[in-house]
Amino acid sequence: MSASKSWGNRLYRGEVSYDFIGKQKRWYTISGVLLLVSVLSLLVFGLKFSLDFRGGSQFRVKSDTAAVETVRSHVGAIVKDPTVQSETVLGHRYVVVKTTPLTTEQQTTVRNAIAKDAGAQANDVSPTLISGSWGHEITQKAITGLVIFVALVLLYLAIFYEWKMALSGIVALIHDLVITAGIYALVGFEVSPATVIGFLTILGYSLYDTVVVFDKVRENTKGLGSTKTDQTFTQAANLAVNQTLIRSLNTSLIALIPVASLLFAGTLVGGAGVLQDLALALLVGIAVGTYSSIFIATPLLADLKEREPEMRVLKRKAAGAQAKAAARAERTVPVQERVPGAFGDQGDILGDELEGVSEAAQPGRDAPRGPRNQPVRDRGRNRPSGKRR
Amino acid sequence: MAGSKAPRSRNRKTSPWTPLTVLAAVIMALVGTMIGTGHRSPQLGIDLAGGTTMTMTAKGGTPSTGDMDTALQIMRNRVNGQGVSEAEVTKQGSSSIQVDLPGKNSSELLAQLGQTAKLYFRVVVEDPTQYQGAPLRTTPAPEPQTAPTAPAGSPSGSASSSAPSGSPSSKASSSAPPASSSPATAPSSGATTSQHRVADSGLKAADAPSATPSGGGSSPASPSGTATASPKTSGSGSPGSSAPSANPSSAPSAPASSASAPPATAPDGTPKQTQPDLATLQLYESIDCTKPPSDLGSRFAANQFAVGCDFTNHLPYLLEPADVDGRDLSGASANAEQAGGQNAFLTGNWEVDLSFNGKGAKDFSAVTTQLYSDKGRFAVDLDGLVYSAATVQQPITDGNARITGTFTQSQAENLANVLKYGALPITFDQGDVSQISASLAGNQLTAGLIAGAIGMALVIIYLIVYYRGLASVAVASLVISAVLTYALASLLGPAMGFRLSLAGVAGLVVAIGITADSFVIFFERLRDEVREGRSLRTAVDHGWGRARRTIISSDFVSFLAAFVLYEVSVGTVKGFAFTLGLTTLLDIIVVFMFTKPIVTLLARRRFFNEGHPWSGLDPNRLGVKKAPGLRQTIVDRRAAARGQGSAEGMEA
Repeated sequence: MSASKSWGNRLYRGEVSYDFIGKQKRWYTISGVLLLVSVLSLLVFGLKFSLDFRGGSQFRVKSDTAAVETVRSHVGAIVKDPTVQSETVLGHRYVVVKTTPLTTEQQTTVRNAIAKDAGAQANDVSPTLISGSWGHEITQKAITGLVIFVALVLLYLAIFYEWKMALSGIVALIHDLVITAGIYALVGFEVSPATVIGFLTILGYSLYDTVVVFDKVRENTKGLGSTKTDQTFTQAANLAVNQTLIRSLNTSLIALIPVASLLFAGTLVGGAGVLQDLALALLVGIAVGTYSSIFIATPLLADLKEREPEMRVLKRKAAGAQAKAAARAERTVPVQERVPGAFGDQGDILGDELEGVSEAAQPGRDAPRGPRNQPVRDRGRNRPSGKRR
Repeated sequence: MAGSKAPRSRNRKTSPWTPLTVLAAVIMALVGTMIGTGHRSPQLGIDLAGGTTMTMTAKGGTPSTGDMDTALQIMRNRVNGQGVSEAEVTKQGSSSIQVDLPGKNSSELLAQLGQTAKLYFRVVVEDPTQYQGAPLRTTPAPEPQTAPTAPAGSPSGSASSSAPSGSPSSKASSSAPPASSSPATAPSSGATTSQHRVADSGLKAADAPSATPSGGGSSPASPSGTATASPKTSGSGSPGSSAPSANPSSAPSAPASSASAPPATAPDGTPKQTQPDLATLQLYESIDCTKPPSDLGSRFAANQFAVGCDFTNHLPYLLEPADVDGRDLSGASANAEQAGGQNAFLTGNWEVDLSFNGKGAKDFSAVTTQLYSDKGRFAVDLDGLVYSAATVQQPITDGNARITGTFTQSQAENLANVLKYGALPITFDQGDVSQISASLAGNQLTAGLIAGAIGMALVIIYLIVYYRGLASVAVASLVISAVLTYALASLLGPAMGFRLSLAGVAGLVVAIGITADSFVIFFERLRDEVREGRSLRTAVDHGWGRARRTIISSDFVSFLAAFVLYEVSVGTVKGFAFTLGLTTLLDIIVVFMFTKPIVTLLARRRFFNEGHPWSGLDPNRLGVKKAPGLRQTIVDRRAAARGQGSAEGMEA
């Protein structure tokens, strides 16, 4: 525990830092490959839709005795996830079985199985073709909703944050949805209404996660380029990702625990897989959503921001400041205060850079910032900008 | 530490007890209502609790696939117009539609849904005596003062948009005195006019309330309307009256007897009848509109004369062959009526706004142009029920009309729904209504609940291990959230037809994680502030200030997703969106009214304030050497910062 806490502290201070953004090419490549695989599997294999979408066969037999559960397990052995219900019309009880489209052979088997359970002749079991209850328009409306939502969120982020954040967030969202759908196509999981609901939850969750990270990025980059010139945007954003890393991990874990137990319960119970479908979509989606908020959305934002002329100027200034600071750090910082390389070389390098930075930048800023300014500390550790607003 | 003073003093103004008390009162009220009204558990969806089902079969042979699909879609729209109920509508074979509704008492709703309807816009025959067989009734004629040309002073409705020259958008307005009661006079068979519908004085919307009924022995009119059309020339110039003349299609034609409406064919392309059948006339003669036969609408084809009954005051109408098919109506909505041009105000009345597709607009344009010159009326005929008979005040050429009058909100919404979902292309035989069992095995719900319990337990264990003392706050917040969700889910069942399906249950389980995230954000911020060396009390205020913004932003996005999905989608998705939105709102409420105040209170306790190792806020663990709780000077902080290095060195 204590190790993870001190790790959390270091992350917060920027002492331990993972270079999420600097290696953006790597993440872009990984995501690009994943997206390509997803799109290809969607095109080649396509999604497998359930009874609710495709419709199928319905069997209806009059029976006062047949237990719904028995019929369900017998038919379930022949075709996956049948819907079995009992129906009472004017005092007569019927058993109604709905399945996905069947081959002629399967149809005969199912009929016989039902007839046996119902104690009736196979001819008494009448099959009908039925349409899906989740028609084209329900799907259509869900998609319309998605499009409107994406547009509104773009607008919201553009107004209250900035349009570059909006763009990055939406790219991450689409990334998540495509990859989740791709996994479904690739593995051949069935898409049921519960899955669609799962997808829709992901879109909320993915953006939720991204907004949390962006909020910190905004806080860290406030005044960058005007009052603060010691960090490039990329560095400030990277610090934000690192500072919210604990939160992201905690949140994802806390979100995944109930989902995993849903999946577990769904698998254990078997039969109709609403729980399973929903949990599976969420499990994949939350994992991908957390990944994209760290590895896609923020690097993308940094890339977009670094193109701005101001940020280019800032980059030069920051590079100069950091070079000076590094030179001074060599002279003043005792060697043993460097963080041991337990958390990766890259992280340490950046951490060291930042350490020096705050120190080097201090003198120039002391006068105007007054009492709120950080005191110059011997160790030269970087105090993140969190409290300065 | 100058910055910390402001939030602290601001916070002192409201005691943390205030929100806690309010929240406690709300919870007690909700739970009290729950127990008091007997709705102690949420109503379950059709997949968990079963429901009622009905199969409707198309009359007269197998209809075309396209018609069936349209009917299926309309059925779904009608079902989903009922609220958040998660109904299922499926096509069975090639000629049946099955509707499954949750709940055991849905037969009435089903019967209503099954009302197969065909919607036509027909011209009212004002003088049935002109036809052979000389019917003894006459349809009351519109009052003389009807249909003034567009009033000069009152530019119509929306002052904002100006429709530039050429495309006058239209507006139908009607006024009718409030329908005071049922018709005073039973339909009699006297040779002379026995009843007068109060002519709808065709007034502009602004003038509508001043319309007075006139004419001897008039029976009160239903909210039937007059259609007024006027160009949206935003206030300037000569509105209205010039527009119709610009209309090429306003061919002057036959006088009052509107037998010769411009299009000689019905909307479906078949030639119109020119004379009503004798049977139709006899029906018109004999029909008792207080108890109209249920198949009235299906007796007459689009190209035939028809008999219709007014749906409120039960008067019969003889109607011409249809001019506009309801299928060409692309939208209808009920809106509060505005009047007064640029200083628009709400008149208190409601109107129904219609829009037609290209074909409908063309047909509607032709018939309104004709009726405008005839001073005739057209009726909205839905399965033999006349919902609105309106005079035309101006030709409506762009496919956008408004029906206004003394509609109440519910009347207007009802009419809009009828118009929107009304036009079924096929007539159905209603089948038996039967009870159907749950479509999912009973153990699915149990499994979902067990999964929720396990998930909750694991989350609590994780929180305790990670946040120690603070976890008690998180757990209490989760429990309060759960209680609120349960109470609202139980109460919203009867209130707005909310039913919990298995997907909804799963959504609630997922919401545990999303709700917990708010605490994680807050606690992490709190710890960040403690790391900065703040005392716990100031850390709470500072951390909260920032966490609050993040929580609101992220929850807003989440709520936006729920809201859009709820507005746009139908069925299961709607139910799910409702659950998502509800839990998001509750999350905000719990964080603001419980978590934050409780943390503020706890920060005053020594256990937390002095950073007990089990409080989750131990400054040593968080890398701060100096104990919080005392105000720190810069010197102190420097010392703390210096000391930090050695503390961390040991930990690492």
